[in-house]
Amino acid sequence: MSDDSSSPLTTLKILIIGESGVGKSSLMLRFVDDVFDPEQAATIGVDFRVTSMAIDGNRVKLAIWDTAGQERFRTLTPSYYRGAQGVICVYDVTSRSSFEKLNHWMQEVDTYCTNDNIIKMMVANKIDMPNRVVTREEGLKFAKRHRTLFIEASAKTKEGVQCTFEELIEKIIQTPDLWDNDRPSFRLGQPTGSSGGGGMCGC
Amino acid sequence: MAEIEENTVFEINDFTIVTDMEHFGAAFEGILQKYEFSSRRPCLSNDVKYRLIVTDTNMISIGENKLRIELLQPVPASSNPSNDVEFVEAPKDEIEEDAHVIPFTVAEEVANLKHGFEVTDSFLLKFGIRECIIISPNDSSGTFTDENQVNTVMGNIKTILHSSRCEVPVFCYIKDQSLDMISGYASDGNSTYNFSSVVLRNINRRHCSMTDLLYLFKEHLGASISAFHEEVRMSSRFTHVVPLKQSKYFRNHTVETFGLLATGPTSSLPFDILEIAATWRFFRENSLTENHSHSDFDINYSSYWNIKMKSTKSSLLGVLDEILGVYREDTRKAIRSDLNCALILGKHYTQKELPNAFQKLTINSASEVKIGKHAETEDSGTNGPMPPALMKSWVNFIFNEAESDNESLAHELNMLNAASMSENQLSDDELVNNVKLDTLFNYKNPKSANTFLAPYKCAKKSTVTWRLAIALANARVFMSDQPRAEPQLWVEFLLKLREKYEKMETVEKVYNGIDHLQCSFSQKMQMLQLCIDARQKRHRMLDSAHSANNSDEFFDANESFNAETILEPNNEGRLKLFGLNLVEIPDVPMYIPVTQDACPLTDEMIDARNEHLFSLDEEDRVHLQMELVKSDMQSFKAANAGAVFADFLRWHSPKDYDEKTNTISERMLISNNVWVRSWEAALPIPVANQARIFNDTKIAEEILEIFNNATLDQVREWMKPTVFAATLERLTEIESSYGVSEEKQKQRTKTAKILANATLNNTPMDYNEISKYCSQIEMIHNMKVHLMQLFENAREKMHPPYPSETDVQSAIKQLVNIAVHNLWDNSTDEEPTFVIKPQDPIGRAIAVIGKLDELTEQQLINGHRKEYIFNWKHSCPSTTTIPMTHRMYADLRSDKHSLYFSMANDCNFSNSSYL
Repeated sequence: MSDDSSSPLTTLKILIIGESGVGKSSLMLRFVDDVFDPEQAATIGVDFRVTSMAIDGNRVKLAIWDTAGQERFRTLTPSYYRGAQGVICVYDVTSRSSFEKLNHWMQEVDTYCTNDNIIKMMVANKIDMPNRVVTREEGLKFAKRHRTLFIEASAKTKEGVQCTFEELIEKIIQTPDLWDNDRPSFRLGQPTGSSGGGGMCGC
Repeated sequence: MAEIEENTVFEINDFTIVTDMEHFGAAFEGILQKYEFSSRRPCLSNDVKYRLIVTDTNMISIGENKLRIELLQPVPASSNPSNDVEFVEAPKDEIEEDAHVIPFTVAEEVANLKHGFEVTDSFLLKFGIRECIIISPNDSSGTFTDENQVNTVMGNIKTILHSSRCEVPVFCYIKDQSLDMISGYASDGNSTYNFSSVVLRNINRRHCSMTDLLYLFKEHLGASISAFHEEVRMSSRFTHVVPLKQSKYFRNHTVETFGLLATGPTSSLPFDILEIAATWRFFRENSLTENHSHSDFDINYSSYWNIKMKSTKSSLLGVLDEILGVYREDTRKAIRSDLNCALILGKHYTQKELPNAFQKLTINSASEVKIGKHAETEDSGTNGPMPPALMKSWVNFIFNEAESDNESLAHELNMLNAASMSENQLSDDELVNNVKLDTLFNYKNPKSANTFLAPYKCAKKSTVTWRLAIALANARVFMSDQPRAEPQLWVEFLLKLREKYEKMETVEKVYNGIDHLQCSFSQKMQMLQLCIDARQKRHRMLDSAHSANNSDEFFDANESFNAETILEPNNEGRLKLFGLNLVEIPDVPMYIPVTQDACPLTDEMIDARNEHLFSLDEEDRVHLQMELVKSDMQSFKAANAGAVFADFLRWHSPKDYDEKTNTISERMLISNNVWVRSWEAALPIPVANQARIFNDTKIAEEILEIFNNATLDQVREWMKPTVFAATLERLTEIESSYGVSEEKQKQRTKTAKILANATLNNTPMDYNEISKYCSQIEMIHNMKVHLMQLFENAREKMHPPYPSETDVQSAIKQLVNIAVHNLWDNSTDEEPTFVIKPQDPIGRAIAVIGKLDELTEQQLINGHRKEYIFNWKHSCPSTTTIPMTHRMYADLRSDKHSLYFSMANDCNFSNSSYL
């Protein structure tokens, strides 16, 4: 995937998770293809789209992984998380259960994520719907508690969709530890004095 | 140029001809002006410690040659409030005393008795002065080849010094700078100082004692010995190099330390030399005697000692360096990359009945491998360098199987110990010592934490992989003269692994699927375990299905039967009740079927799978991922005859079926969607009869095949993250025997984080850095342990009072610091010193360590290096002139004898001073 990175700064892997039927695929398709299909078929396993976007003058390639929300596909979960730099966790504002399950999803992110610095974003989808049951405040509170980004969106009306991805990517780019690990890193071990025994002979 | 022509009067009309020497003079004068060296120089305080450093460098051409003019000046060594050297005031009392006459600084400096062996700057030691200008050729081609040339230059310089009233001494090197032949001059207009040095390969043996040197000094001054002269003040320093008795170290293998990652020195102890520089501070002529037959310089009665511990070995690297060293690029290149471990063993490995993994399996044929029909593996095995009993213990250790026969292991280890010691006979004393050292080097902390300092991506402690990594590393160290030991252990490990796999025994710890936070090898081992678990489960299922077939249908739902009850194995593959009845047959209960497990994936498999998924078009991708759903549909149909798609959704994807309205969600009703198509195509087949999704046999055989074909380098690469983590953790453990500073702990945590990053991203540079760090820390640890042991032994042999614990610790710390400085520190920092008084408890302990009481008088007379400083206040040139201090420093070594003179003259005979 990242081999053909000729001009883009880097290739980022973004994962979309959340309960079944909250609109994960719709969000992705709206962002990538700018389409909305009310009769979007249930995703099988995982679906992906590759696109690119410009952030702060840098072009980044995005591999967006849209996962199936159904329980049965979760056995493959760890494989989805591998190498992801950003994760978008979607819930449906018209379904309280989808919001209540967020705890579980956050736990999963912590369990399977190999990268401590992964950027998390909470997306409250379907805000165009009249029968809303989860308020913005509730969502915001949850996001604050889990230190994630938060945005309200509607894949149907396009509202907040572009913003979701832009903010997430921007935050990732601001965290080079996440994506710039090709170069040998001594960032953790700032050379203390000389690289030799200088710093070590404290005994 | 002036030309002489006929009939013209000779006339100089061009005044621009300047000789090379004049050029040089002008430039040199310019430098003096630049430094503003045209008056008295300040006297420096004795209270502040200075270091002489080159503060400025200039280049001047003299003819074609370039000369380097360096300014050597003192700067306060420690952080002193007054950094400005120029304005450091002389001690107050002196100022008061000589308020009107500011003395000639050079004369004061040479007379200063503080400029003895306490100083570390060589220039100060040699000539007693702290500020000077040094002239040296810029490259070897332009050296002054003899004294005449230097005299010419110095003559010129003298003129300039006098004309510019510069009192700073100027030195000029003769020949190569390294020969240390030097000539210098300083004057305040009235009195002068001439500096010179004599360097000889070998001074006449007649001049090798203090008495002789004293005559030499006086005679150099042209002064006869007279009772009217003031006494000469002398200082001397004798450096004795004492070899320590025990320098060899033999690893003492014991049952207890068998499974600990080996640490300690490789074969010799860190230190084998004790260097004592005994100094006698300024004493008067005749108070101590040294001549050819007698010496008063008994080391035990000197003023103080400077102690150093040294090693004659070129490398002090310990075992951890040996363990991590195999990951260095040069070492890796030395291993043959075309041989797997079995082939390395060659004739030492009998593969009588080839276990399956040795057959040339292809992926296709893997499924044909028959289960449980393997040749007995007992017949095959290795007969390499490692004795069978030892090998068995290793393998048992790896798989954490209780050691059945500790005695035979102890016996084998003793054999190993004996073998390493056979070449060198150790005395009983040394043997006891060796064992004591060994306990310290291989310190085992019972409280050692079971957690890591940082989240390394490696095998967890107490897993088979962790122990395998330690075993392989230890095999390498224990039998370092047997390069086949390591591959042999690997092959034996594989044979046992195969055996355990066939017998479906536990081969690795697995909790809840593959732990992706562990390294790739560990994941493979976990995968093997999951394969074994899957096979066990399948066997159980097949067995029970078989028994269910044979028995009659007698199954009746009893009263207590509810949705939570797991059903007995049955033909329909029903697991338990769902809790609702079927949509279209409302009086028939719906069952949740037994389902297949998804195939667990290691990181490598995930990457391969993801790459594959990416390469597929959407339809194929969906098809591939429908595998599990299709299997579920088959099982569901088998468990629930007469069930419809809606029933399946109610169980599988409740979101897509509304129980209230009894409707299927819109997205599942999209015509011809893959869910509906698959449902319609699915046949009712219980799991027991389905094709396996997790083909454990194939995967296990693939892994075992990879293991069998691994080269030694590959095996080591697999162990790399774990071995590095084990090393870092072991360092923490051994250091806990004496406690470490907070700063050092922070450094350790930082290194642990680098390692966590290295294991995650496999960055070779990070690994190299850690390898270097571990080697150095271990070396320091070895030094400490050795010193601790030396002091401990000394305590047993010395008379009280004993040195206090803090004194010993401080001594160890200082000695280690000196050794570390000399080993690694390339900085220009001064070498730290460790100064003690011979009669202090710690001094007496050192004397015991070096067995100084055994030194003979002859050894005392011929110390390895003898240095003397002579200071004599003597009137020169005549008895009527003001007495001035003359100084000589003599440095006698076995291969080079050097004398340095600072000779005063109270009468300035230089013609140039007339200017």
